[in-house]
Amino acid sequence: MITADKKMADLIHLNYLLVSVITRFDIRLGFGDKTIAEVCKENSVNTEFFLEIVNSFHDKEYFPGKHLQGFSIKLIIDYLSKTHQYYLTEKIPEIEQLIDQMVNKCYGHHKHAHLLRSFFKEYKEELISHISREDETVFPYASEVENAYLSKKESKQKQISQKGYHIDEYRSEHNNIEEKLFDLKNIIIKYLPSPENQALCSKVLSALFILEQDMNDHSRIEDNVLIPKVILMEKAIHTTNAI
Amino acid sequence: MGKIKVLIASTSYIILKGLNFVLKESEDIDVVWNTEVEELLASIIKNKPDFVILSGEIVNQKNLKEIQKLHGKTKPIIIFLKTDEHINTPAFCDEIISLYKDKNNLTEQFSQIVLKYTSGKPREVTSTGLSKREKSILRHIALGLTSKEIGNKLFISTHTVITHRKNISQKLGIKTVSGQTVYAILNGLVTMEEIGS
Ligand SMILES: [Fe+2]
Ligand SMILES: [Fe+2]
Repeated sequence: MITADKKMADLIHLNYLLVSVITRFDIRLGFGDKTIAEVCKENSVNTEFFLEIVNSFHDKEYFPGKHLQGFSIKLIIDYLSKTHQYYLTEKIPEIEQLIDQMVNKCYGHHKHAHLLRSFFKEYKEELISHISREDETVFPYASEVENAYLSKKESKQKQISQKGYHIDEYRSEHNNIEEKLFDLKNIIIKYLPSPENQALCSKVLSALFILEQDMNDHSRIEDNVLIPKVILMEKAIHTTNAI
Repeated sequence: MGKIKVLIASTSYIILKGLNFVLKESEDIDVVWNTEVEELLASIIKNKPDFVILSGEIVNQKNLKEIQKLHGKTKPIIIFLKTDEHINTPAFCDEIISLYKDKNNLTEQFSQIVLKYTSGKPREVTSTGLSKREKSILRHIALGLTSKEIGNKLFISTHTVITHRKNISQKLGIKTVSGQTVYAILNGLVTMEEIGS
């Protein structure tokens, strides 16, 4: 388990994929020999929360549910939104570029070259619309629920009750997005004709695997931390306002 | 490849010939047939069939025991062909097929039986190729048909189509319709012109 007294540099040595995670907390490289606690303090990051996030990212067996649920919805949403930005501004454009190159260099003369590109485009559009629904509808709703719950004000809670919207409506979308990514990998690994440039293919694949791993962690936090937390608050609000 | 091996036994040449014809059309299968009881027993040992289809007149008290004994060893599924005289179902059989069904009914029933005993079994996991029936279903998926529409076209139930679709996903490692469409085009099951992309 990663603890607060570990050096931040060792954290990255342990799992280099965590570089992109610390970036979401606005922590930059160049931390010398400082511990995780020290770096977090300097950057005004909640150390406990940071530890939960990196632990669950690094170790799938480390189930984040219980511990993470102790943190505020605001804090969780903040991290999730930053992760969205990372996908949209870095990962997706990166993969898109690689796929373009791969199609040109490997399958340029193949009559079905553009199939891969359009499949990825479809995936990308689905992902973008999922993310914007979370950023524009789900997350603001979750914060409203938290505000109403914390304020204990009847008027605010009534507003939530009357919306009749439930958080679990959007949960099933995660499956579709995961399935498409899974298919994309298998099409490249198993079914496209042998590429002329194997190195390029392996770049695309490793980018897809990294994205997949990152998104699995992300969806896990949404499904197992955010949603149950909101549901609990919704229930509390609905029962106090039932009469 | 994941062909299904079916052994059919009957003293009637017409039944054997006819069943062979119907079965070969409906699934990717190998058919072995026998007309003699003695041959039948040896053939079960030799061919290790996935299914054994027996017509009523070939089974009697004496050979039944032996068939059952071999049945335990090679694990074929025994299917009984029912004619008019056989009103009661004999206890040893797993499934019954009536001789007086029409072609579509017969094909449908047999597909159901095959799916019932093969889905999820190792045969599915190790085999990479799709069966004829699966290929034809995949083609229709790529053309944008729903399970219900595919069922109507191929004279099989929606339920059977859904089970086939599960097997197709599992075999290909591709779960989404758009992914399966890419596969279908790459493998010439459908052309880009046909799906209008
Ligand atoms: Fe998300
Ligand atoms: Fe999500």
